[in-house]
Amino acid sequence: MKIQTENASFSYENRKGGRTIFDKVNMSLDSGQIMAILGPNGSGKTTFLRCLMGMLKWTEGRSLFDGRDTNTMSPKEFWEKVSYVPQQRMATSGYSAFENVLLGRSGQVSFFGTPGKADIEAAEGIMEELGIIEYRDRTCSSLSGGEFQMVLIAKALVSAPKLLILDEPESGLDFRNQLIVLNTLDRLKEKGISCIFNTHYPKHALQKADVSLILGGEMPIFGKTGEVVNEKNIESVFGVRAVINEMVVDGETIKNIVPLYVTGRKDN
Amino acid sequence: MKKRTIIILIIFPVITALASLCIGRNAISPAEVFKALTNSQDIQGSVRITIQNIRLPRILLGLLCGAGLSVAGCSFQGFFSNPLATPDTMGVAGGASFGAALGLLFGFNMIGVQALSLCMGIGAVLMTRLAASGREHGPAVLIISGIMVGALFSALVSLVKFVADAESQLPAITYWLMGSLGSAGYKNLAVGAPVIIAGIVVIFLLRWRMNLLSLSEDELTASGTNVKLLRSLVVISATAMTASVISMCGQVGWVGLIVPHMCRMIWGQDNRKLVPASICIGAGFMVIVDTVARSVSASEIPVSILTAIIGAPFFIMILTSRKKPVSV
Repeated sequence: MKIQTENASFSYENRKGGRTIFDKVNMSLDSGQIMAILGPNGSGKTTFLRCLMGMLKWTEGRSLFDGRDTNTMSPKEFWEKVSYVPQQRMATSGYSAFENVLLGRSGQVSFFGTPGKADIEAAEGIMEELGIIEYRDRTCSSLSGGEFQMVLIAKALVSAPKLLILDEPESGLDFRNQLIVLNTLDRLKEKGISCIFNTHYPKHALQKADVSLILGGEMPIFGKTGEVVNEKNIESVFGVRAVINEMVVDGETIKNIVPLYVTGRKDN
Repeated sequence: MKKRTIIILIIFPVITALASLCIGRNAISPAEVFKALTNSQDIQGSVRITIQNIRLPRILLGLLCGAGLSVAGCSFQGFFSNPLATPDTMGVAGGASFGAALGLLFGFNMIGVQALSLCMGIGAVLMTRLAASGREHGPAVLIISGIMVGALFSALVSLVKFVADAESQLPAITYWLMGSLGSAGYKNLAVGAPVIIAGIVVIFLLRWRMNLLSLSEDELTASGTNVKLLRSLVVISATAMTASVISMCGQVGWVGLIVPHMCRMIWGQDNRKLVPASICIGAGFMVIVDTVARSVSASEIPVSILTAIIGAPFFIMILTSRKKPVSV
């Protein structure tokens, strides 16, 4: 699987002429890779994701999935291979966790049909894999934020997608649940499923993402995380002087970023 | 669903129907009912006629209307992701009532009244849909335009009443609007039943996919489902069913609210269980209420009065007794 954008841009039009959110984004992601999208509030991270998913149209440029322009793909074709994990908000529906996960099989069930044995087994299987099978019959409104986020991830995975798109999956979760969600991304990578996730935490990009896209600066910045998420770019895009350090734990190198102080931003 | 539950659900309306056939001004024993149904010549002609031509069509109408209104209520609640949604939310009741009142004013026969009522009911929903189109704001705009369209048709019904002849037409219109299964006949059923049955079949087939409507707009897009088609089918089926019921029985309220709620309390909100349950419980419920309506006193109590008397307190009871907030 490969997803790319070529000179993708998006602007809002208004009477005064319009506001460009991002201009000429070129990115590319292969199988089993993780990409993080970083940027200050209002830099267009969510807009970029929504354009990528076809919910908004690029003003210029295009996106390609496995070499095909996504405009030529039917929604059904696209969503057979891609799944979306929204941010966990207060669950308003009274469905159980299992019923919710089962909804993720809607692409595999015929329009006038109901889920069959295979669908039910797939839902149970994914819930067991993610370690959430024990609350299959609890209503979603009774689950904690972290548990519900895992249910949403299970729902996205039950259709066996090649690419998962997650909108700020760790936002609003506690210290432990953030780790659980992020580690899930690693497990997906091992299975060859690619992920694109928005995040407010450069640290998570440094620790989990192979490539990163940084929006909100003078130009979009894309490349290997180790190369583009550096102190210089953080300062110029976020207006924050930060320090990136490395530590070795059990033979593994782990990167961390610590913000020091706020500086003026270069533009806007 | 457990097999035992399915059997109980199917038996419930059948038993209420059979029981209702025995009840009436002249009590008829089950044995005679059975003979009348099999058209045997063993029993009195008057008994056979009572069963075949008076009670049976009425009970069939009750079963259909109860099932239709309940499924329509279930569908609208799923469509709006709101447990308070009823078939009236989009103005169909107002439109159908206006059509019927107009038909009675013009002196159409029963079939004509029914047809006009059906058309106006669907027309009202089309108006609601048109008024809300062009805005991507989701269900909220539809609800508002539905209320407005409903109010418009309510006013038009009042206009018809005002213009109608106070001696000959007004009483007929007023009683019609109060709702009754008394006009049941095979001719009416022939016109109205196919629509209701078609609607029930469509919603039954969509019963799992309807669960998707509880998701956010983005999640709906990401499901790859043809959301427009799903929503259209649900609304059209539910609307057509409701208009057909109103065109045959007048305004019968509350059934679309009570029955899905009772079913939700027992079986939860998965529409895979809720839809079949609503069909069966709704059918039986309507037959029970109508049996009470026609046998409790010498003159028939309009059925909508009974559904309201049962419905409102029942609803308050649900709201106050539940510890968890009511959710869809």
